[in-house]
Amino acid sequence: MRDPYEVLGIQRGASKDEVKKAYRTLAKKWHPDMHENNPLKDLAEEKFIEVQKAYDEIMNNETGSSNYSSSSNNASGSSKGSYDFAMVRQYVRAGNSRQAENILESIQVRNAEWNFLKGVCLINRGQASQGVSFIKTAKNMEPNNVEYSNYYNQVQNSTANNFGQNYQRNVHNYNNQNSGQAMNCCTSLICADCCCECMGGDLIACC
Amino acid sequence: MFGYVNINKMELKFREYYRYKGYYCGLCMSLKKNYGNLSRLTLNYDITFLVLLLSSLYEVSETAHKSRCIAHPTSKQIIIENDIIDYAAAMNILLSYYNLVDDWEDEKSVLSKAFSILIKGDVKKASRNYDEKLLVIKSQLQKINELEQNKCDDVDMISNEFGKLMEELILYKYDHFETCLRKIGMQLGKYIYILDAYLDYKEDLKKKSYNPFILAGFDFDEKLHNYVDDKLSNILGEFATEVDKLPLIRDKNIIENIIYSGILIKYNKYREEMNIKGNLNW
Repeated sequence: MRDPYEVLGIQRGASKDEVKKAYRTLAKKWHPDMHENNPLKDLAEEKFIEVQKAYDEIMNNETGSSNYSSSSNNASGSSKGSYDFAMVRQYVRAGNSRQAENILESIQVRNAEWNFLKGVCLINRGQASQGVSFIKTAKNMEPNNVEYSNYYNQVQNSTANNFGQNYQRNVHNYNNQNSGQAMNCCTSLICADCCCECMGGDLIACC
Repeated sequence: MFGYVNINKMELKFREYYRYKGYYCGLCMSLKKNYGNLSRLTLNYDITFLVLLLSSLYEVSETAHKSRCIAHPTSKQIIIENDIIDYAAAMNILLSYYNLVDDWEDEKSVLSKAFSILIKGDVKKASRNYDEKLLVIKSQLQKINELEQNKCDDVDMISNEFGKLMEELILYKYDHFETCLRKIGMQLGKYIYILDAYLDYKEDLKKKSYNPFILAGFDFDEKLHNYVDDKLSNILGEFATEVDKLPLIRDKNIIENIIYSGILIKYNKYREEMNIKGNLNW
């Protein structure tokens, strides 16, 4: 695939807003609805998909939380035991976590592999914190399993569990951004008034 | 829905506030136009957020006009119209109806039963165009009901079911954004359900009503307060991260206001009243 920044026509280091604007412009340009009567409709569609993929790649790297189905390609390793778990892994690799979970629910034996795959599915479905605890259970059940340990470490190091702390920081920043300015406004007016009074005038009559 | 996903009015520019109101009033008007006056009582902020998010994502064409209404008889209000508002109005009706039916079956709330009968005609109309969504809404509410009847003490398990419900509501279209939108819906649903259970703890204890925290053995103490603070931080963190992945430009400031400020107002107000410290206030 081409360099995603090249596809969107922006520089590396562009802000998230610039990336989003670039995506919007190109997505509008190549949207299938705009090319219904065009003989080059297929080319337009290809371009449209390319733009979408480029956008996804940049956004996933920026936030640091990639879709874990790509990393679960490493989880293709020996699925010791049943055919069912192999099916689950196939669905996970295909990005169909829901179907994978459906199969898991029907499996009675809740061994380490079951817990591991359940964890992977949950993480892929956006429930990172819950998914992590299942992976942890799998790791505790089979401490020597390299696949489970590696995956667990990878997930721990990602922003999965830092979501909460990052969010708290963003909340503080958002809600405190204006209070500083308001304070400055008041203090500067008071200072101005004092200076004025020192010079014999009076900026604010009542103080 | 519980009205938690609101704006922080004080941090919005006037222009942004009136735009948000335009959507809120637009939703009300769509309910009135398509489903009659009574249906307007089901209007709420959470669905308004969905309208805002989806309208921004799909940049649908919209019209706006000024009009008087029953709630504002003296001054004209700005009202926005677009396809997503009509979609959200239908979802609102379906959800409210089945919630009311639930209330009647659980608590024998006569008011709920009466209201549900009154809007039944509206529901038939909404379900005509959205029969698949209706099936999911019904089935999810049923699942939640069953879990409550069986005294489920797993906060994650039961809030997940509400999350799946929100996933369906948020999926106006099944397209390239589906994965991201599902995650957003799931986290939003979990937030709403868990926050509601937390805020209802004391009353549920008194009335001996279902509450997953009570059943899980939590007392109304520091352990619970810290657990909830962490849980909601993580949920909102994932929610905010996923929303940030969407190419939202229109109304971006209003959406940020809700995600980083407005959505926490009721939670923080309650904690302040109870004198509980945490990490989500400012």
